[in-house]
Amino acid sequence: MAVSTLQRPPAMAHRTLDDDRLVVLAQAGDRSAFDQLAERHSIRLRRVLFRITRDCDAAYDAVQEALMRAWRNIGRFEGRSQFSTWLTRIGINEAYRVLPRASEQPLELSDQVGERIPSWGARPDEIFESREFLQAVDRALGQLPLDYRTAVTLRDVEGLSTAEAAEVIGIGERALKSRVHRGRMVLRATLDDYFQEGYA
Amino acid sequence: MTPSLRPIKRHRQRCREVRADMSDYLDGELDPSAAAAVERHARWCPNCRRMLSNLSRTLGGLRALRDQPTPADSPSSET
Repeated sequence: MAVSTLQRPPAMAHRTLDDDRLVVLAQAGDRSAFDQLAERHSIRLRRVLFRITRDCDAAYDAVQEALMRAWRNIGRFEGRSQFSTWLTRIGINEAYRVLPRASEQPLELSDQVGERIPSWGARPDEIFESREFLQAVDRALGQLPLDYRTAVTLRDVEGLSTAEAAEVIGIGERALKSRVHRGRMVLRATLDDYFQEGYA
Repeated sequence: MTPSLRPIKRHRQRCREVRADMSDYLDGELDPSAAAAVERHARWCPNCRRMLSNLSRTLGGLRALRDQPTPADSPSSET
């Protein structure tokens, strides 16, 4: 397990500063400013990486490696994207490095895809509020091939723009849109049985 | 003049074109005329209408996942 970069609480004075200011301080060598950035973004990053790796340890390790790599390279961050976008890109690169180990693990989803959702409602908003529905969507997302899962996670779950998601993954916007569309269509098809049952 | 496609073949081709545009439509990234064409087709094509509706619901579910906790959120994963 990587050594945590979050051993020290960030200075109180840094809590009110925005990311841009914290980056400037961190680039000047202020470790506490970087710790504040890490505290602010690590939970979200861990969620993203978990949704991609489907492995808690892999996600946690990738976050820690990403934070250490970000601290070492903070001087190279040019501010052309948000700090969170830059950090996410580093995190995804780290996750991909450890992913072969994670991908060998069986997916929980495979045996449960066909399960009916007991509380399937008659109205769309009821469906979206259904925990079972969200679990089904999450499981279906976990079954997508890695590249599509990553694209859909960034674009739809995390709400990044096409340009941001493309930058994080390191592909062109057109390729990103293609992956997202194909991923969405596969998810829609996976969930189609549920929809038909609920709306027949 | 290019011979016109048979109605069924033309319809299937139009379905393929509309389905390729569905993500852009739901993201609001189609120009108004293309968006109107998707809506016009979906109004009378039940299969595409259902697909568009279900794709929209799928997107709603994906967006709702953002606020959902994951197993990686639990304190035990930080040990």
